[in-house]
Amino acid sequence: MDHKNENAYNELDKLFQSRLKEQRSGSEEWNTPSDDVFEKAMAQIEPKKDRKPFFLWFLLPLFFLAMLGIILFQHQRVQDLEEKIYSLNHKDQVTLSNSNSETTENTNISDGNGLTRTENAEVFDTKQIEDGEEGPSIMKDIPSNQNITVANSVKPDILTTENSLHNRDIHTPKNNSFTLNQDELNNTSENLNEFSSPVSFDRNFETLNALSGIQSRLDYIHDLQAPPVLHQPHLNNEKGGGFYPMLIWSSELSTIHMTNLPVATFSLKAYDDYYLGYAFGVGLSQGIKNKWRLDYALTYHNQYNQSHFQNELLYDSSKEVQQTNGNVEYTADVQIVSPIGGHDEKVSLQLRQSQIQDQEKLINDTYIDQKYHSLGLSLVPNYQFSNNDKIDFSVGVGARLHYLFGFNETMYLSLYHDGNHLASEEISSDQSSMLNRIYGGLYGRADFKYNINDHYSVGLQSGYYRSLTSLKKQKSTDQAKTYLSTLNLNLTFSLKL
Amino acid sequence: MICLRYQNGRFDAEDCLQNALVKIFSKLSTFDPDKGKFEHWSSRVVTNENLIFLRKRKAFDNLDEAEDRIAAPTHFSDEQALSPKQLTSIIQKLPEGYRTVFNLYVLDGYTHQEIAQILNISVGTSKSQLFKARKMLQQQLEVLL
Repeated sequence: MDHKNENAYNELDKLFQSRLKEQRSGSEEWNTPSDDVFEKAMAQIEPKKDRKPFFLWFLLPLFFLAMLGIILFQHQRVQDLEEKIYSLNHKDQVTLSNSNSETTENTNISDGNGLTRTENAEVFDTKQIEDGEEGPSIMKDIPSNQNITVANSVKPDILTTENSLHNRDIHTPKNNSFTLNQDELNNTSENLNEFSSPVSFDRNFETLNALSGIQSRLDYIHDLQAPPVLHQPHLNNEKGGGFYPMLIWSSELSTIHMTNLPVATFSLKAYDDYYLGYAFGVGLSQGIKNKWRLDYALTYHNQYNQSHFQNELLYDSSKEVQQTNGNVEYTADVQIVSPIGGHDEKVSLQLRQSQIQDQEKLINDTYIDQKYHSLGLSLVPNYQFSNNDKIDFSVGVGARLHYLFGFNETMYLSLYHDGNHLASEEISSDQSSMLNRIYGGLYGRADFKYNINDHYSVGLQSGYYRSLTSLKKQKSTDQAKTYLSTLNLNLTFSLKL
Repeated sequence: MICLRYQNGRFDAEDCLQNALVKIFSKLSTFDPDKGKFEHWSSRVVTNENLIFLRKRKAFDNLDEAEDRIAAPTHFSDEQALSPKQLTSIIQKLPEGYRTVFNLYVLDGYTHQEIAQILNISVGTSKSQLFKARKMLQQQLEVLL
């Protein structure tokens, strides 16, 4: 049986050997590979012949110069916008200043000729003050023999604001009016001829509304400007394998989303505009299969956003302190909601009896500008749909972790009573307690790429990042959560080294 | 032709041939005419590329556990009628382990020892794979004839 089988197998072997060996000399359609095979093979071989390293080194400096130019341009543009908004916010403010006006015996405020105010500002009603009955004392601890002039559309009841943050620096506003804390004021009361007080007044509530409208329009124009440019060399590794270094430059439009906001006394008026930021860094692209690659990147992100909060200060009579001039000093604790922080603020006011009897709510209106400096670590698998000599299209979804290492916050606080603006204050702070936190999310992107030659390609890339963990931690005073979203619409420039 | 024998379809065969062509061109400088013909050298490169391709697909894992589904052999009668295309098609239908050992032993002239070394299997496994491959081929031929 074995012998019989062996013979049969020998015949079988001979059959295959003879027939298939014959076929080696001739080719037919079924055993002729398509032209595509040879073309693709040649495409993989040819680049090695065409390497032009000198040309590469010539283009690299140009690439970096272009990136530097874009960074400077964007930085200047954001600064200009901030200054414009700031100047608009403060254009109509009338600052409390001293003058050579007439002195009254019962109050430290008088009307006079030296006031600084805008054209339409109403003249402060000095009669009540001079009577000494209802007139509020504007500056606590200021000697009564000082001449102070106030111009305001409403009764200047606000004394000063103090905050409970120990690490907060109150800095000089950009419009060159000086801002002093209360101690400084007390110590320098003799020099009031040279300084403005920390309290300033807007003409009315509508002023701010109008300004916020202008600001919104500016933001809108800002958002519609030329799409941000990203240069991200991601390399041709269609056939998989190997690591390729990347240099990354990105402009980003970022916004925040907040949830779990306190509902009783807080309201979030505006927060979801997209603001321009940028990112740059280094990365590696690793080919893992024919149409798959993994991109790793370590990037620095400079992101910006603005939010607008309002909260009510409910009057608490137990906190009244009667003053000798008949007015009442009232101290209120204000809870400031911030997108990633949140803290308590103490506000000291001097109010007239009539205002207390109104029992009107005091409104704290706060604009918060925040800049985030973070390091991002991303891992994005990409799938390449088309892969020919000229056009590539790929999509990728991955994860990105952020480490927040720098944070700047500027708050513009304004107090209103019964719709009338009382005072404004600009507070800039470095929130060191907010630092060293990690948040992470999903990052997806689509990439069109045009291969100019074997070394360079340009493309259009769009991406979206959404944090899945909150930037705001629960150790803060409220339970609100903040998520960051970032849009990218980028030009890409790729290198193959 | 070699790629068509080792792979189970035209698509994989062309992919494999493309990689083999790249390798032939890129390693052309290593070819020594004194040691043999270019045809033999390039055939060896193509065969190696096929084995790499199959190894990536883990084609040679668990060869010992492969199921024996082969009928007993019978004698051929009109085998001359079979064309190379038909024979190649029959080879392609073999399981990857059978197909590789059959190609290496019968058509490319490797010994069982060499096959065992290349595929990282035992000599016994190589022999049994060949035996099963032959059985299955014979069964397939019976259907055609």
